[in-house]
Parts: sequence; structure tokens; C-alpha cells
Amino acid sequence: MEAINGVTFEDWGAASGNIAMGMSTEEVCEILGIELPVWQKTNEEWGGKLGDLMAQDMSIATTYGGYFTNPKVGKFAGVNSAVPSLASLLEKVPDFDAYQKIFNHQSAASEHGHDPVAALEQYGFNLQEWSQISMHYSTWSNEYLNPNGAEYEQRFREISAIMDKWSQYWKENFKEDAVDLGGDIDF
Amino acid sequence: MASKEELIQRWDSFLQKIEVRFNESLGHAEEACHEQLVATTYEYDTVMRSWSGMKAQVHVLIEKIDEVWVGKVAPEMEVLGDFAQDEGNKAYDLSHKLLYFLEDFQRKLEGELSQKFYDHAIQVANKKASCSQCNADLEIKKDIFRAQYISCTFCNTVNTIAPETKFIKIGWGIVDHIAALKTTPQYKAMTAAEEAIRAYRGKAPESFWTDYYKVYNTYWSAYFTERMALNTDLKERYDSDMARKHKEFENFKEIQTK
Repeated sequence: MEAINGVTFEDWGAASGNIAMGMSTEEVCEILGIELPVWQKTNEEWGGKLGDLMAQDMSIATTYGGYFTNPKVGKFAGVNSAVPSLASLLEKVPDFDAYQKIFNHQSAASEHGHDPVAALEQYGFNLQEWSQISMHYSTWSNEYLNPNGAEYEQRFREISAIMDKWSQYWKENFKEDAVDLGGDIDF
Repeated sequence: MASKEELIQRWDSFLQKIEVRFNESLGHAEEACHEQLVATTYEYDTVMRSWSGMKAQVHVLIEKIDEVWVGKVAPEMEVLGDFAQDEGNKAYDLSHKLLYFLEDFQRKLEGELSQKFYDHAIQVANKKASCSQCNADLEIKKDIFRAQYISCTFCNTVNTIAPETKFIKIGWGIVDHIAALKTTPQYKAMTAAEEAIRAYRGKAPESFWTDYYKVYNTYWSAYFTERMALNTDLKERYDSDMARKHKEFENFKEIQTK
């Protein structure tokens, strides 16, 4: 795949991941050896290009996700940034239940007009770290819910119950933020 | 026990009240969003988060139609005869009508708020920037929403100007919403043609696909043209954008017809 303004797809994905972890754009420019106007144009162009590539083959999104969640690659390989290991993140989110709690918190917060990133920060995660965790549980649930497996139905019910439990929990939690527009209308 | 006519009358009245409340709520939401945009000194994302909250409440209102139908109305009607299905269709029809309206409303709201944000944020480009070498005035380009290289017309020094975040934000979705609003008629023609195809559940005649492709191309061409009129960086992407849309059309057709 051709680089854009000298920035490869791998470097762009890693740059995006590092920015999500709090790296400044100045530092990103320094590592890539380009100036701010070139970085911002390159970022826009790669964003558009990724959309083009995804229309051809969706698996490119996984490749991008890999660079984003493990951003110590390419020109960023030797960067002294504190990318936490997946193992250390999973100590805080040890199972699908814990993952769903945060996932539904974010979703309910967003639905009720709150900042979903702020909800994430309550658990001590930034976007890059949350992406690592999300990617892990997305892969985990795909494997766990193998439709050809003998335990598929039982597992499907188990996973659905966890999702419903946390969805209801946060719905209840944000209840006071919601206005029942049709509360006075009845049959 | 209520008669069939009484039940139908109460049901119609319930549905009418929901629709009136829906329209009133959107009216209030629109007003509140416009006011909040100004009150927050054009914090577009804050307003969009508020809209998200309001939209969730409107969804709950729409869901009430089905809840009341299933929980109260249908059981009462079924006791009195076999007219319940026709009355149930009213619930389905109104829910869908309101959901479609809500989608159109959001498209319009985002477009109007974006235009308002644009008109405010573009003023940043009117602020003077100065040449780092000779202090002469530099003119920021008003159709590129990122850091810019600007050559000084007096001493030829190439300056790097990083405009304020608000100005840069115009390039992050604001332009897209404005373009979407300006191309609403083409968008409606496209979605109507798509609906006609979906109604056939994979069996639409080829002529429907030909018609759809025509309005699909018309819409996306108009949309990308509007975008690049505001953001010249996007000019060089026009061909790639249209090629992507062509591919997405093919992917959609394949899924619908296989």
C-alpha cells in the first residue's frame, strides 16, 4: 500500500493510537518527521482512503484496529510511551460481565446527553486503552458464541442475560435524567 | 365493557395525542438546541450530546405506541372481535411515520446547527495573522480547515499558521452536515427509490435498480460537490469518493439480490 506524504498506513494507525493515548500532535509530527500542516492533511487523506479500502475489503478495518490498539509499531516502535499491556488492562476488566458494565455505562451516558469519554475516564481508561479492551472482548465473544458449537444456545442466553442486566442497570441509573414525554398520555 | 366503537375512538385519540406530543417535543428540542449553541459560545459537540438525550426520550415516546398496543389495547379489542389486526396496523404505521420524520428532522437540525456554527467559526479566518519575518498581514484560506502554509506576499517567507480549533472543526463533519442539508431533495429521491427496492424483498425488477442507481449517483455527486465547494481539500477526493459509492452500491445490490 502506498504511503501518503511519506506516512505509511502502519505509521498512520500507530499515530492515531498514540494520539488517543494522549501523545501531542507536535510529538507525532516529530516522530514522523513532518510538519503540522502535512500531518493534518495526511490524517484527512488516510481517513478518506481507509473508507475507500473498507468498501473493497472490510478486513482492512481490523488491520487498522491492530495498529491503533498496539501502536508501538513502525516509526513509533521505539517510542517511550506508556502503552499498557492487554494483560494489565484485563486485570481491571477481567470478564465479559465487567466489560458490559462499562460498555453499557458509556452507551447510556451518550443516550442521556453525557460525554461518553468522561464515562470511560471514570474507570481510568482512555480511548486507546478502551479500544484494546473492546477488541479483546469482541474477539472473545465471537469465539465463545460459535454457532456451530454444541453449547451455542446456552451460551447465547448467558451472554444475552449479561447484556440485558447491564442495559437495564444503567437505564435505571439514568432514569432521573430522562423526561417521560408521554407520561400523561394513556389509553 | 366498552364497545368496539368506543375502543377504536379511544385508541385513535391516544395515537393522535402521541403524534401531537411528538411534534411539540421536536419543536422544543429544535429551539433548545439553537439556543444552547449560542449560549455555549458555539460548543457544537455539547449541543449534539443534548440532542442525543432529547432524541432518546423521543424514542421512548414512540415505543410507547407499541407498549400500549400490546399491553392494553390489543387484549381489550381481541375480546370483541377480529378487527384488532387493522387497528394494530395503525400502531405500526404511526411508529414508522414518526421514526422517518425523526430521521429527517435530525438531518435538518444538524444541517442548520452546522450552518450556524460555520457562520460563527469562519470569522476566525477574518482575524489577522502576521508574517513571522516582516509582520505583514497574512490571509488565512477560508476553505481549508487545518494548519496552513501561507507565503508572505511582501517578503516571500513561508509561514505555518495553525488556526483555532473551532475553525479546524469546520472540516470535521460541519461541512458534511451543511452539504447534507443542501442536498435534501436529492437525498429524498434516493431514499424513496431504495425503499421501493426494499419493499420487494430481494425480488425488485431490474428497472428499479436502474432507477435507484441514477438517483443514487445524482445524490452522491451533488453531496460531494457541495462539500468540496466549502472545503477545497476534498476536491482531490471526488473521484475516489464516487468510486467508493459505486462499490457500496454494488455491495448493497449483491446482498439484496442473492
